Amino acid sequence: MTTFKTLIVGAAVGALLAVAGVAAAMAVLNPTAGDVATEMADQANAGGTGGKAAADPNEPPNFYGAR
Amino acid sequence: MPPPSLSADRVTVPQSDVERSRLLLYGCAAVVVVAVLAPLARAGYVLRYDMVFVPRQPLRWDLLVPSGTLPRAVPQDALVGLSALILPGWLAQRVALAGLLAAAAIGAGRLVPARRDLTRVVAAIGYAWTPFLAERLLIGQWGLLICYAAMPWLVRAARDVRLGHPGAGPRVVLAAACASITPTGGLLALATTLVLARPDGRPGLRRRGVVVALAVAALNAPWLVAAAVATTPLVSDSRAVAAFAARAENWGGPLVALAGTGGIWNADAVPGSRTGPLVPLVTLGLLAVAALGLGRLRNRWADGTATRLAWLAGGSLLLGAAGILPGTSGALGTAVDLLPGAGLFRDGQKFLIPYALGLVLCVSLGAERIADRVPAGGLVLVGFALLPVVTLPDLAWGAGGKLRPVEYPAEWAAVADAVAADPGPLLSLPMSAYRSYPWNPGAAVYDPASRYLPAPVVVDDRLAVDLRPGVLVIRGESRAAAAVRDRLAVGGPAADETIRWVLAQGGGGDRPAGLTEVYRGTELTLYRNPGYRAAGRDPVAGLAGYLLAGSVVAGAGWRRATTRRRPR
Repeated sequence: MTTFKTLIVGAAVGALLAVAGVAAAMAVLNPTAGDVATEMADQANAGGTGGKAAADPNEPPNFYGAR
Repeated sequence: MPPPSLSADRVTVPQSDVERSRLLLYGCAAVVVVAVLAPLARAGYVLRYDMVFVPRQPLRWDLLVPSGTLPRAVPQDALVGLSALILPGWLAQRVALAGLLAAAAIGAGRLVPARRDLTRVVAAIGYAWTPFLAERLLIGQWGLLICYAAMPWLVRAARDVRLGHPGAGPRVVLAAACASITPTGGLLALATTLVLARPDGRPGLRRRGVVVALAVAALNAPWLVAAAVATTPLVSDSRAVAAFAARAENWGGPLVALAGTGGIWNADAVPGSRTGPLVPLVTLGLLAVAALGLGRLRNRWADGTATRLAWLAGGSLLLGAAGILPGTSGALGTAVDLLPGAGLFRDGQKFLIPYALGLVLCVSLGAERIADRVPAGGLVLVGFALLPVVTLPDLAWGAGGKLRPVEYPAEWAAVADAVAADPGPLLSLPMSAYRSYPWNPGAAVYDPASRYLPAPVVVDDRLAVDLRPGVLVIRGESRAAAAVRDRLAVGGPAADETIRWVLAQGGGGDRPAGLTEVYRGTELTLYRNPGYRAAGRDPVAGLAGYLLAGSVVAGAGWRRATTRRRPR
């Protein structure tokens, strides 16, 4: 019974770690089209944060932050 | 900070094992520091949201005792100004960031009442690699993170006070002093001390607990006195409660985000990995493991500390959720509107620190419990130690490259020299609390003029938050900034007789009427106002808070030093 419980718990922990690891690696290595578009827009704005859309990179950001 | 003992569970451990365990923790801490802060090996300053470091931050009255704004960075700014007497700003920033990461890892690793070294590693990496730490780092609140780093040391010392261990009182005060460099940290330190250090035994111990609690309360004196002498209204805009409430990071919703120690209000401060679809499942899994570990924590800390810590953690989680729960959000808004100082609680997620520590301790012991029951228990613990990194990989390398040092253009030093020659209040235009610069791409930062220049700086302290949809402009408290806005709104002059200098950031533009151009660079233009009339007195009374807190820290340091020197 102890061996069986060990196997179950070990498998559960292993599966959890494997799934989380694969998902995280995919998230890092394979950004979605939305991420790419956001990054390109940020680079184009050269200000990046705060919903800034102005062409002048010296302008203050429009927002302190965005929800 | 005083080192907590490794034998936290009061199990006798051979000295060689203790040394090995310590070395392991120091190694873990070093790896975490390098992994997170590697980009800071380059020269320059990381400038992001509230994190503003400058070459030499002046010790200005308005930073020590801000009378025109709320004392949100008191006594943090005083400490940075003092450090500038011996350290350049770039080095102070690295010492602060590396120190807080290392202290968090070592503190948690030493605190957990573990029977295995690897359990300590799980706690060390787990506490130094949380969504909370990543998000508050990305929003630049390093002062709050020093409280985060001090929390394990404070918990340990407060427990020792309650158990009557000699020398514990000074340790509580010193750990709480580190935690109290911001008002939020000071309140968290006080709450932690009140909950964990309050003895329930002999009258002598009770008296000692009261003295320690009073000393920790006194550490809050700098910002309390500054608030008391401030000329600005101490109540805030209640609409900020909704704007700064905890936020969902994925399909799990804000409560699950909080349960995983995330949920900061600002989407720009959330690591990309937190938005993954599996994150809520990992959070629920961690909660299940933590439930396993809670029993073990209660057994190892059979004196009741585990229960008290659970109450403290639960309270901090409730405070974090107060802005989103029906009933409490309304009550919080009313309090922010009416009660002086209640604005501190509008961003409730920042109070999650005790919860984060409790969660990490319980998960570590839950992992140990699982490891005890399987043949390859060590491997399970290694897996749990790596789990935070696997699920939050974008904290590494300066939070995915977002924390990268930049150099100030040379014109900042030129402007500072010009202002230093004739100090007086400076107005920073255009009106905005936060700036973005082409030389600091991808990051908004609190106006560096407020820290760089040797003069009081008037900035617009309103905050615009993109609610998607809609924009909320949270009103500020500075009367000086409001007066400037009113003048500009009717086409009046930017500077009146209370303003000595006007700094126009962004370059270009015509010279404002009535001002004399002193310096013009590509990005900064400095004007002198010939109509300036010096007025007002420095709030010397505000120093009383520093004297009180400084005396308490000095006394605790002296007691600590003499206690350690005394032969046992």
